[in-house]
Amino acid sequence: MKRDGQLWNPVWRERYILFVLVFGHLIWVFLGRQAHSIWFSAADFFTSPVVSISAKWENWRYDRSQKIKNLDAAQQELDTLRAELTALRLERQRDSARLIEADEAINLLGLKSLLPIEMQTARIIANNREAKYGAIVIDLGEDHGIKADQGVICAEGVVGRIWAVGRSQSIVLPLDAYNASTGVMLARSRATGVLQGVNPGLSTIRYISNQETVQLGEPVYTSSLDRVFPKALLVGYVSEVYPGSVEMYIEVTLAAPLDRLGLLFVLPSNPQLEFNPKFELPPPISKRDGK
Amino acid sequence: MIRSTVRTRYLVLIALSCLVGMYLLAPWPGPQAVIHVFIVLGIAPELRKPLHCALLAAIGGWILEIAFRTYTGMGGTALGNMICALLLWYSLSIGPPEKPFAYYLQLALAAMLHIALVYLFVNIASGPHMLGYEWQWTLVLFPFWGSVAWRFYKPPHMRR
Repeated sequence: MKRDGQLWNPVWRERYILFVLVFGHLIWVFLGRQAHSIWFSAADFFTSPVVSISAKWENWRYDRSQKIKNLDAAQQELDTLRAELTALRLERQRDSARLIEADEAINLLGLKSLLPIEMQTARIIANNREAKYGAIVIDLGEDHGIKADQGVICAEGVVGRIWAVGRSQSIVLPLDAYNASTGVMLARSRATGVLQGVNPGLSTIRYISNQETVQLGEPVYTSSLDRVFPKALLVGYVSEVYPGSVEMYIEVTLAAPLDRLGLLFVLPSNPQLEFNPKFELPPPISKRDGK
Repeated sequence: MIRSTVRTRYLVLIALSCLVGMYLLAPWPGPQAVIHVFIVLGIAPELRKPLHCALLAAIGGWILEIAFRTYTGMGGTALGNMICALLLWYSLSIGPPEKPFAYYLQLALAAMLHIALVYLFVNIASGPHMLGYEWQWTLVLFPFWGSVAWRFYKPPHMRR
């Protein structure tokens, strides 16, 4: 067993430790300021792994919180957009009627610019043409100078004629009414006849001979023979045709959408029956150009 | 021997509580300085071994500076604490005061020396520093913490 020496026993060991403790502090205090940079760099070196891990951890938490914030913001934005969409849909529903009317007005304006006659614009008040002997009621009457048998058209085609006139309202007899008669002609053969109503949206042309050649889909125009409509206003298209015993049976689908009408034009009492559109002849094709 | 061990454990427990309290009192430097000087001069010299005395004083100094978090260079307080605590320990061991007045006199001298030494070493360690108002707390409350230290100090003729 090793015996402790004179200067290496528990008492002296404590003294050595005490000495190291006190003088270590002395050296630290007096020389430590110069060595601060070394100590700090050493501390930075030893703490760098922990610092980097904690930085990554903090970054991860920050990113996560940002994602949650972004998600919340996106959700709020989505809710806002949904609310806006609902409001816009409601607004569109509210405006749809006006939009349709505006479209009709645009079409009518286009028609008005094409037809060189003075026409009055009328708004439909009621449309009960589905009923037997039904009719369309418009907001123009005697006060506006409306008289019976004035023609009524829309942008798509002929609608009918004024049947009865009140002070501020009038009744329009549509083309598909049973008691309606309109002078028409076929586009290709120029054969003229009388259009009579059969069913809602459907009419037949009477008094066309079996000798005529009529094609399905052929346009039907006004003939101006009834002196109500000018010549060559679109009435409809031939939807069915077959020879009858005396005359040809021609069924016409009307061009004017009588169920969806909003604005109409009322033609003058004695309209100009035929227009003279300025046809521009196509430029002559020379042989050189036509090669 | 058993009594001594129990007393030492008791002192260590008190010292640990004071260290924790000193750290938690960081927002109030005045009371913190009183607890600090009580650890260094009231408890540390009562420990039997000088190494334990120096260790407790050094730990008290380091904890105080860490709690401050303002020193650019640390260690000055711990060095001043150790020197003062060891001097008082030595003074009490070579001539144990038998009356409270002698003890209080030594304790007051040690407290003043402690203030001066700590200020000196802190200035050396971390550069020029203002002397705060903590020393006033220490001296004004000396009767309080000195009487508590006297209760811990047991003169030989008073020990059972």
